[in-house]
Amino acid sequence: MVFSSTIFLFFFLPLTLLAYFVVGPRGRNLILLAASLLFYAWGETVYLLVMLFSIAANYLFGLLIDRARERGSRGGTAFALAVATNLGLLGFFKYANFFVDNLNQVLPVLGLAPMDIGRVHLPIGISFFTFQALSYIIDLYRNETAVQRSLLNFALYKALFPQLIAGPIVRYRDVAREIEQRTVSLDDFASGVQRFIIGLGKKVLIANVMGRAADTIFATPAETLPATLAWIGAIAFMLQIYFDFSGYSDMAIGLGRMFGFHFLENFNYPYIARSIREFWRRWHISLSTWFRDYLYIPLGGNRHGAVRTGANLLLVFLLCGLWHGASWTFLIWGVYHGFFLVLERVPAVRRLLDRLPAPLQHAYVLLVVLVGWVFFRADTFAHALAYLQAMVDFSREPLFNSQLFLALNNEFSLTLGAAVIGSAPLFALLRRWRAGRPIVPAPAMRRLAATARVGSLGFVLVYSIAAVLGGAHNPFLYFRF
Amino acid sequence: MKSHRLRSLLTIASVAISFLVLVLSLQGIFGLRETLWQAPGEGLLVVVFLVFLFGWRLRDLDPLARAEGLRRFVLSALFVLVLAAPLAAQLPFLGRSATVVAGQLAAAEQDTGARVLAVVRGFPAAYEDYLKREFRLPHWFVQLNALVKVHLLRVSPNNNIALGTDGFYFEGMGTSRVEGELVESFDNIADYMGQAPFTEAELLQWKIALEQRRYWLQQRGSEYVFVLAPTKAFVYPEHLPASLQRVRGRSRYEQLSSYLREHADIPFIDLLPPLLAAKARADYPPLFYKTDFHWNFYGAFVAYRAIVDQLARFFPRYPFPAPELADFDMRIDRHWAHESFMYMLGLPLFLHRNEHHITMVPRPGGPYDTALDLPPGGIYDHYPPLRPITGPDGTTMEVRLLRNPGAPLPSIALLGDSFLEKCIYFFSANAQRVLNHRTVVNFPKEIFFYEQPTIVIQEILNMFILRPPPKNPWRLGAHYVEEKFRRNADKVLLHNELAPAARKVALAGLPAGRPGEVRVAAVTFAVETGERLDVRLLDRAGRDVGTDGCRVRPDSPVCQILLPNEAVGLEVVAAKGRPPVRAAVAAVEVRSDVSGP
Repeated sequence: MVFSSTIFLFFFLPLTLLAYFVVGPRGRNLILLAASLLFYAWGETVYLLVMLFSIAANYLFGLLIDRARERGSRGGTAFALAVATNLGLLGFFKYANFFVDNLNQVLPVLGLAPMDIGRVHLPIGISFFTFQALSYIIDLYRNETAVQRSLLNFALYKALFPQLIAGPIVRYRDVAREIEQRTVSLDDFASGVQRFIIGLGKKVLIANVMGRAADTIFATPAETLPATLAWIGAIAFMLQIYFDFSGYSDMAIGLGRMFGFHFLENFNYPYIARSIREFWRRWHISLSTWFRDYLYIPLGGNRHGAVRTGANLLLVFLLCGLWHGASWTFLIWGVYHGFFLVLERVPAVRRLLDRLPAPLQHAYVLLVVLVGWVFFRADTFAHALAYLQAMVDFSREPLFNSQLFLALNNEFSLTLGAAVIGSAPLFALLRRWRAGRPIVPAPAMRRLAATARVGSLGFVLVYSIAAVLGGAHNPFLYFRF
Repeated sequence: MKSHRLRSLLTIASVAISFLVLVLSLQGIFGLRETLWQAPGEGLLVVVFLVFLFGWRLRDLDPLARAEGLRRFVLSALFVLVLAAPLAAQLPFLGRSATVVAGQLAAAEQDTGARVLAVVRGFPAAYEDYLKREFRLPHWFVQLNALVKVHLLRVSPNNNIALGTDGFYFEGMGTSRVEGELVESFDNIADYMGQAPFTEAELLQWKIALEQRRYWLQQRGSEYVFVLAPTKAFVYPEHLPASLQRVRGRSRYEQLSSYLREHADIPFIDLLPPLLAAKARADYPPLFYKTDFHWNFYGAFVAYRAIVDQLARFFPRYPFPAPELADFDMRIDRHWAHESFMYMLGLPLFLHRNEHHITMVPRPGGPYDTALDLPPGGIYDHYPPLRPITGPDGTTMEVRLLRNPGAPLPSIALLGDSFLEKCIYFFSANAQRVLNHRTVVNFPKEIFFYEQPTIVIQEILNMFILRPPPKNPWRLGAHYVEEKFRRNADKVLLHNELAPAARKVALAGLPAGRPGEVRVAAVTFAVETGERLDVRLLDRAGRDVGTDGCRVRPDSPVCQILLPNEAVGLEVVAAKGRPPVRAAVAAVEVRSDVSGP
């Protein structure tokens, strides 16, 4: 069930809101849990059992760690089992086929018969809820959070539908209080609505349009792509993935707010970064901080010299790439980013970057990220290389066909402009500029601006729904992670 | 405080009443009502819902305390209303839909366990499918999308339609019904760009298919005429989107038209030149609707006249009255909207009543005076009635039939799509019986059991030549080969007598195949008893380029087969499942339908 689908917007959400607000504080967690499990089961049917198993296992492991602590030990065994169980679950469902497919390239060479384990289904959101569970277990083990003794509340934390299938990765300690006790004020609800509308608009009105163009261009044989088209495709994907994912995060945060939860921000205008390091402080913040806190720092972080730091970064980003998908292209994408993070730590490189004017710093980051996205989007490594080659081969014949006619139209051009502008914190910059001005706008102007804001949001809501109904199926990119 | 609370409750009440009104209006305007009791019950339910939601569960509820608070309240209320209203207007849908879907899934299984599993596994996808078909959402969502896309963004809201300039719409890239329930995809845009060319083999298949129809009908005493009709993009290319105009290429229409004219043994009419000539004569009225793919009735008249003029040239022995434009009153409604097209686009009718709809009313004293089935209001969107036609065995078949006892020809059959349908009434001037059967590319030979028309006119629209060439019933193929051989007695490419007879024969000396050439080989077998055998056709490298089956007997030793142009040898083998072949080739003659070296 995607947030922009008819069934979610016109059935699931209104009915869930109705039930949630009618039952009152006592029954809310139960209602929300039931709705969340239904939400998950709707897309995954019997694989709901995987989610339920994960809930039960992590709940029990949490209790075991807590009990061990009460008895004076650290609970290392329970902790190790919990980590192994979570990683095992993720490893099996997500990476078994990848592992076997690669093994089967080698086995015949060794004179052995290939393995056949069939196609293992990848439950939606398993990467997210597994990492969520791990954050709980690790924080508990580190004594940074208290155990959740109520199975209902723990299940709610894990299964909460706004962030279940595509994040943000919510840490238990960030929502622990709100799971037990929360209220929803009009301000909260309205803020949630506002945020949801912004996310819906980003997804439907921008990401989907960019996605159509990107899909069309990436589906064209790379050997025939002229350079201009290749660049357009790469930029379209770059914008698609940002608006799709950040739009989804906005919707998740907005929905959470409607139900009284305050999730942390997941994106902070990553395309205005001036270094790859800064990029990763702005992109998928919940994931990058998860890797920082639970892998990079335990590995030693930057405390053991440059070489070890570099190795840690490369390993973390290799795993980050692998987290995104069981494919060599994701792995290479992760290592690629890790490489640039390591490179930026070289003093000479850092000095050079710091001396560059800001536009060049932005250009450097955008170029590095853009090339990385080509690996991320391409079907295979060979495809990525051929695509990159197309981007620098300016001798090819122009290409225009029926698919491109449909994808690269006025709507695409206008949306591209809006997307580029929307990638920067324009309104925040405007507000700051205005705040610094000596002349204060008249109250009438302020009221007009505020009313225009509400009116615009209302239009975005209605037009986004209109675009969904007038268009077709539009799945989110990050589902299969 | 009390007054604040009171004001808040009044605000909530007014939102609730607005919601109730919205729900009722959705039911009234969009027919979303399920049952009579629904409105009062729902009204009560949604009022309760809203009172609870906003009055009791939200803290700090005082939307009028600050202007910003009121704006936030309005936005929140709008959000809830927009999302909740459609379902609230069709509440019984929830229970009914779940029951229907679960029932359908369970019905496919026998035992309870399997049923439960089927429902658990299949319910979400089946329910969403059901929802797409049955849950009615206010159509103004779709209309808003279309309005923004068409008028602000200047793009078409769906791929089936390409948005041109000056209010013109053209065929895009999408699906269309072909025959019956068969739906296929057509990439008209690739065709405009010349990026979907025919292969030589496909063009040859078209030629053969159409010639087969002609020869078969001629055997029955009917003439056959093939008409190629252009879509609007070929008549009004200046209104295509600018990006398409820059990359126009040679379309299939142009390919097929020149190929048939040069190589096919059929009377062929290309409607594009007369339509362009009519357009050049006068800007107004236009020949096609802007907001539909079809030509209007003036365009249909131009097409009809072009066909009749050519018929007179092909068949000078028949009289063909040719009504002029002056024989009609042309009535133009300048505020018409094409409902089904607007619905497909999603645009609201009331904002788009600017199409020019033409009705052609025959004037008295002309060839239509004796026509029995012309609509009283003139020639417009009106289907001719279905009438039974009777076969020699007394059985009947229903076809659309027009009658005009005063017309010269006995009977004309019109086979075609909705474009030719618009010309039907005009043909009433030419034949006492005008039959019409809707077919896109197929050949409904069953009609000719019931009727032997003087002339059969088959029209195919440009869009439908984007699909693979048509296939005819097999009987047409057998007759075609014999007829092709007979008609080309003066174009012998090769005649070999073999002594002794052989099972493998090289057709030495055959010239290279030429574009549009059809070759037929008459193979005479030395045969002692009746046999069924296959003849493999071989190219220079000895590879199979085709196989044809033959049934030969001592009193009928000749078998005629279509010879692919690349075939330079043949081999006689046993037919599948048959005993080893005993017959051998005693003579071969190959004829071509192309003259000269």
